[in-house]
Amino acid sequence: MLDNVIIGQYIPGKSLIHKMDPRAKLLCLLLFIVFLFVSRHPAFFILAISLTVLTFIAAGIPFRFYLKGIRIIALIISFTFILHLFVTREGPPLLETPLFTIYTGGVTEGAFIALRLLIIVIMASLITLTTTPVDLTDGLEKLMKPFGKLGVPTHELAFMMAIALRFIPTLLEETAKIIKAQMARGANFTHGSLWRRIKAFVPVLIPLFVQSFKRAEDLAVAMEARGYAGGHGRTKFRILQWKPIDTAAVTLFAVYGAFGVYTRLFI
Amino acid sequence: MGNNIIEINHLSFRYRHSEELALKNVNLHVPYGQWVAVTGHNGSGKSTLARFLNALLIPDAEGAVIIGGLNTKTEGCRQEIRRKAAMVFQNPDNQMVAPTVEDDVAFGLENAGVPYEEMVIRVQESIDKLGLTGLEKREPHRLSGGQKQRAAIAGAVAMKPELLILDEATSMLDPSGRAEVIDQVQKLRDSENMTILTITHDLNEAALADRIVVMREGEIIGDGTPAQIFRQEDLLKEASLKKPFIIELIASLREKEVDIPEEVTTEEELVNHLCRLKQTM
Ligand SMILES: Nc1ncnc2c1ncn2[C@@H]1O[C@H](COP(=O)(O)OP(=O)(O)O)[C@@H](O)[C@H]1O
Ligand SMILES: [Mg+2]
Repeated sequence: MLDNVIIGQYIPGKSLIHKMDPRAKLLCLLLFIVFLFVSRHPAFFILAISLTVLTFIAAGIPFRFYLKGIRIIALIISFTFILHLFVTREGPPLLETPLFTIYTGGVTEGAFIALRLLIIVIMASLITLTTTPVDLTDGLEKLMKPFGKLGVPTHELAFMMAIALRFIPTLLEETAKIIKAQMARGANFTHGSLWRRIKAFVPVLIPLFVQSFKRAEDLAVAMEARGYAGGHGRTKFRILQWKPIDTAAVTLFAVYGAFGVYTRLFI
Repeated sequence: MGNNIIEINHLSFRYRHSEELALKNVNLHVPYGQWVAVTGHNGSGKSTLARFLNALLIPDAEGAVIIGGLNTKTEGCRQEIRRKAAMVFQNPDNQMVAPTVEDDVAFGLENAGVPYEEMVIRVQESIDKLGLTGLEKREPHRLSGGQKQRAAIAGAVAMKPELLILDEATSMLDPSGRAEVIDQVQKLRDSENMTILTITHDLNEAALADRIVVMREGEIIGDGTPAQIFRQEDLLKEASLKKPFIIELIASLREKEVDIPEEVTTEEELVNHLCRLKQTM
């Protein structure tokens, strides 16, 4: 039941994408998302889709891993599409009913948004599937470093995220344990109405919360005992290595962005 | 008094919002290289005492805690004291900070600002020393309890501490995990000559130490070698501690007029002694 969580689901491998620096991957993703909203030119969309397919092939991760992640997102995407059908009132009417009218503009607008969301989700999962959570947070911390000068606590943010990721499996294990213990006492999580099933989870969440606070306290003491005093004067055990392939990838995505701007302004 | 790593003088302490004293006029001197077991019932103040050794708690006006010549009251010394006195806690799941064994072992070194090249060497050394070679990249949830605690000890050892404090580090482990950890602690003590302070209410474990300190309601009520402590029936009863099986066995053997010297307090020593007796017969 809990195996469906995809956060931090890393699939080990030796592909080109696996070997890339997490900073480069994050930069590419950022460029990809930002410029995707710049232009609606078909040629640009074809380029974006080609890039997604290219990355997908280079990562060499079986398609079924994406399906898991996309299942929930698909709901959101469908919902946005349908919302656009009803809300956007542009172009000639396509379908007129006594209750509502659907315009062609709504269909194209909805399709654009759905397509954009879909390739963004695929791109983003490509990154989480090929990067360990540690590398991801490390990359984030390094990329955010310039904001540190503006008073953003970059080290603390990245550190919090790393600890949260570290404890996800532990908490899942614990949840499973509590569920089993409650089931042994006659609780039922799989039958009955939705409301009943939600109610059955209350006795699971409460011990989980109590235990988590205890954990947080213990962890804070352990960290202090080990001399943790924030990011200042700290050295790093993990080092990131920027390779030519990283430069190449970022350049590729920058060119894609430039093409997006070009199609927007001149075509 | 340069040969004591721990000097605790007149230490009393009350937690905020608490009625009773958690520590009452504790005095304890521990020379370098000694293995001390602190024992006592739940709530007798053992963990509180340990927290003072690591400057996690600071004595108020009267008492003093001096670790390797550094007073924990001096603010500038605290990080150094934490480096000298490394601590391992009870719950194996709540003290691993990093997502893999090697990252966690490196955590203390990172905090101390140790340069990368040196860090890599020290991390690997400690991992090897604690018999965790090959598990460097394992995540905490894929380690056994014993392995997690050994990883925690490796993290402590990487700091090259002079004093290693284990606060009930074995109490949540199964017997094999417990044996693993104790075995490693013994090795550390023999090879590194590290001062060790173990907190435990398992007297079998305490029997391995050079010295046992018995606590009750925040006070030290007994202090001596295992043999001296185990002889005092009243003391053990007062502290609600159960004598180890092996000590009971030695007592019954003595009743049967088998000649067993005072120093024998562990199973291994008893077996060795009995074998020697058999040869002379
Ligand atoms: N954080 C705290 N706040 C208030 N009282 C505490 C706290 N920690 C421990 N105590 C109290 O101090 C006493 C000693 O506790 P502790 O040192 O944890 O004992 P031990 O480790 O021997 O079981 C107990 O009575 C306990 O309830
Ligand atoms: Mg305790």
